[in-house]
Amino acid sequence: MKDPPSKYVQPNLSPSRIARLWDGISEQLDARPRRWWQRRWLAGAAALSLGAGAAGGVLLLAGQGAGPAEQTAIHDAALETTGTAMSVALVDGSHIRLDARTRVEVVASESEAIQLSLERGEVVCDVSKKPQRRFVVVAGNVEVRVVGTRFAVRRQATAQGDEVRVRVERGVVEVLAPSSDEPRRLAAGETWSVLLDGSRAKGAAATPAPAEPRLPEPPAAAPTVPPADGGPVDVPREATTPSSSAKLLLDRANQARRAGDADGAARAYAALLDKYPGDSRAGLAAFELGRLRMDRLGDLAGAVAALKQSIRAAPGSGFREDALARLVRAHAALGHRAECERYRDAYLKSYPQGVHAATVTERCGRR
Amino acid sequence: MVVGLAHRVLADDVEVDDLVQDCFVQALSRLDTLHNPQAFASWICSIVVRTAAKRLRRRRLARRLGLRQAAPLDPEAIVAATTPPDVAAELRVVYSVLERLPAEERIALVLRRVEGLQMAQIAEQMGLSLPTVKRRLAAAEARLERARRRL
Repeated sequence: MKDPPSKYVQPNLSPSRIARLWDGISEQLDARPRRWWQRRWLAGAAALSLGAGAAGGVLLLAGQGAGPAEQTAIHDAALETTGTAMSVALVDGSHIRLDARTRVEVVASESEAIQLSLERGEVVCDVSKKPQRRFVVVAGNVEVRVVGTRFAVRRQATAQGDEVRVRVERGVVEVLAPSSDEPRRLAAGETWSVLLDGSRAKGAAATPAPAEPRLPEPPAAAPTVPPADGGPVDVPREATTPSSSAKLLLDRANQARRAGDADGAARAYAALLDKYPGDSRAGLAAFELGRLRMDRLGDLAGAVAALKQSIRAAPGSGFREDALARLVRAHAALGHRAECERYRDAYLKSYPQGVHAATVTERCGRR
Repeated sequence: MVVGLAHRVLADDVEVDDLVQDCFVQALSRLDTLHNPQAFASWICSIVVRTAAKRLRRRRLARRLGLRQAAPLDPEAIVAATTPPDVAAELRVVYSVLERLPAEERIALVLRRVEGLQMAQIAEQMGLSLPTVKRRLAAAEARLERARRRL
């Protein structure tokens, strides 16, 4: 039977784009009250429909609860334990072990990209070797990327705030934190930790841990967090509670963008970034601003500034890959060869099998 | 599936993402109207088609009012490089006329010529009667034929 022509008109559907789409959908759904059947359908129906090759990506988890059934529960695409730890086999042969009182959400579940979001507790990942597959654990605004390894990510509340701690038991992982554009590699036996400013927002002040490597410098705008000494610490918490004003600005910007008002949308995104640079929505707002300036407003220099800000504000986000690829394109168009090469190399280092790898490689002239 | 259909109908990556998000929000808010889960695919595709039609009507209106510039589609950027020559030629003609068509004609043409759907399926997805779909397609095909003669 002849293939329909639609086979030859396909979108560029990267895992990062899917993640970004879900960010937007979740954001809109969060504004509405949901009923139980809607929550249950969210993961299943969406996985079936969003991606073109979704049939292989519906079931990420072939669950093997090690604890009593009443101690563990799978909600939508999330795993949650209460009093007992649980081990889960993934379809790619990897295993994860959730400590007691841990919640992990499945952000992406494609055969070539698995992304888990650690909401609380500790998850130990024993990842099978599969070079073509990306395996990422996100905790707040920290991203831990697997190179082929066994490692643990813990997220817990401390006196100083939410702490994310990464411990590598075997192999190598890469960690992305808001304080750096570049991932840092952790080898076996190394531990790294960071304090989040608020549960999801900026942060990136680092706390020393035994046997840990040199930690990234905190960004200029981040509050200074003294070393942990067991005493109470007064930490500014601008983003601890979600800012309704920031949400309003983001809603206004999105509405303007959907209505085709690029200028109005850009103004609202820029206002959000100006007034609430530490808000958890800042990364997404900066990315959308970068897209608008690049695609609609013809402001390449402004797009570069916004895209850089998006990577700084949300280094572990799903749109980092697209932001890096756009930075390569923008610098190439501006004739900034050195910057173009820098972002091209950063992209290829982070996403050697990424959907933009081929086009990014051809930018900036000969390598 | 959803992104693919939206991409083929709108042929504009910036708007596609917004359309897809709108469609999923609508779908998840109206799941109680889906009585047969086996029909989920065609059900959500019909949401995409009808939401895209609204966007395309708004887009044309904005152009008429001078609020939006008409940007011609680049068929070469839309059609994959691996497309067989005969299919590529057909797709290029379709996408060269698409921006000039009214919303319903455009969608009917994409569903017929790109998605390869039957008339009854097109009518169901667009929420139109069969005779109406035939009229829309006839108008679109006439314009397609004129474009072919010019090429």
